Amino acid sequence: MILEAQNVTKTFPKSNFHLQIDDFKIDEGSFSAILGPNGSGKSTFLKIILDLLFADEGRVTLFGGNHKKKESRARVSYLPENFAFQDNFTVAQMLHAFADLKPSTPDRLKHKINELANAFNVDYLDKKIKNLSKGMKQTAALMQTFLADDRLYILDEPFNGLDAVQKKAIMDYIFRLQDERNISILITTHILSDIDKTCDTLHLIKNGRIINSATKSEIQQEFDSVEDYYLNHFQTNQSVST
Amino acid sequence: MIRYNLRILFRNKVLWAWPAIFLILMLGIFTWGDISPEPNSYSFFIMVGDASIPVNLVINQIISLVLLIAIIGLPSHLSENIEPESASLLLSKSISRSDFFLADLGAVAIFTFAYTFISVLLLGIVVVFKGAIFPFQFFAGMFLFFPLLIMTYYVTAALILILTNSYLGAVFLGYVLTGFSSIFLNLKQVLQFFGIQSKLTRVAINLLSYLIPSAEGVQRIMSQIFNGGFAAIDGSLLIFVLISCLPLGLVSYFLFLKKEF
Repeated sequence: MILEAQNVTKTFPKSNFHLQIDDFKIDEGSFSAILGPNGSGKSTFLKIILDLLFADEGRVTLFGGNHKKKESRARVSYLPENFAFQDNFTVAQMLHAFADLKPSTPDRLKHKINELANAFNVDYLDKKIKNLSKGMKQTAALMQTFLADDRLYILDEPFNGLDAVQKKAIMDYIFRLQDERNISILITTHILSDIDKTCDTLHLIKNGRIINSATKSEIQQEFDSVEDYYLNHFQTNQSVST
Repeated sequence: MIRYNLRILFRNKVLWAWPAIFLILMLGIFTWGDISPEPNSYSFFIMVGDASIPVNLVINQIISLVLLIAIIGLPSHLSENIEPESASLLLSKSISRSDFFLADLGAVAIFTFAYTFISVLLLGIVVVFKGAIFPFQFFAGMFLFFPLLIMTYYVTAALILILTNSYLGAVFLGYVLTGFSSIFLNLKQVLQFFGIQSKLTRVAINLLSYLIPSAEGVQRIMSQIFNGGFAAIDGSLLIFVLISCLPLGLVSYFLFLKKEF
């Protein structure tokens, strides 16, 4: 297991939201998704994994170590749902600045930036961030996420604002990394078509709780599509809760 | 993380005004002025037309202006870095909160030393060319203590930023609160002015004086060096200045360790 979370709780008294994750695991080389409606706790859970938010209780381990230790997070890259860069930097300058945080040799860095620019069809490395469209900014953010050769990539709504061509380019790159380096991916999304053909494990989250986890093959045995699986659980749960 | 912060600081256009002011001063003296040594002092005169102005007067005015620029420009990167949208990216690069905070202070210290070095260098060039003198103690004093003066303001601004996430609040309160430090070094006169004689009040204010970074103390030390060289530094004042930076610095540090993004 490269990621384990057990009995994790976090309460936000002001918004009356309570997150409770009893048991959550990610295998090496897996492509997992956390699915759920807006406000269900997807981003909150990811932030707890990365120690950006502090859990009230529970235990999170990354690569076997306590997630609070920076050494445990050293092989993890994260793309938050909402991010901000220095607007007056160009994309290339931004990537170089972030490379300072996970040092690399200049030759390797240049090679990696070129590799990502080619893979993501980015021809605006010299454009300032403030002049980019939403989709371009999102692609630039994905570039900084994949800049380091990490083993686990945690992507929070990674396809926000991307068109079908960009999505495909990024998915192709992720699959290539999985083939070459056996990386693990954990993504959150509320758009089912984003993960319909890609994920091998799905976790459904509602009101701060994982209500179901299943592998793709388990889903395929019972349902026609991921959408059916999702609707089945959420419509059933909604009818129960109402 | 220090390199990351330095990249941002050196691209901050507001802060470019700092060396620009010294450049304008240098060009002004080269074009219209002259330099002459000040007798029995480590300082010098700037001569414009028939007027001889002690450099301390000019430098004090420039320091006030540069301080204002620094206090406006320096906290802006910390303000951006601790926004959840930026902090979540930065802290996910396997950086601890401790590294994040200390790297920020480190980068600001390196930056202020670098810009002070440029400023002193520009001033040094014009003094050597025009006056054929090199008041080493004056320049060394400025190089060592001007960054410390700026750091006294920055420490207060950083605390307010961490507490409130408000850049404007940090700039304003940082400037005002640190400015209060002058009261503590003129305590006798202030207490007399308000007619306060209570020993308890005196002790309480004395204790309070250790809680606010003493910018006034640094300025006094700089004046002591400009007038009498390093030998004239009041050691107890120097220790007081260094101690006074610790409480707010430590409070900021511990608050930052508990901050969620």
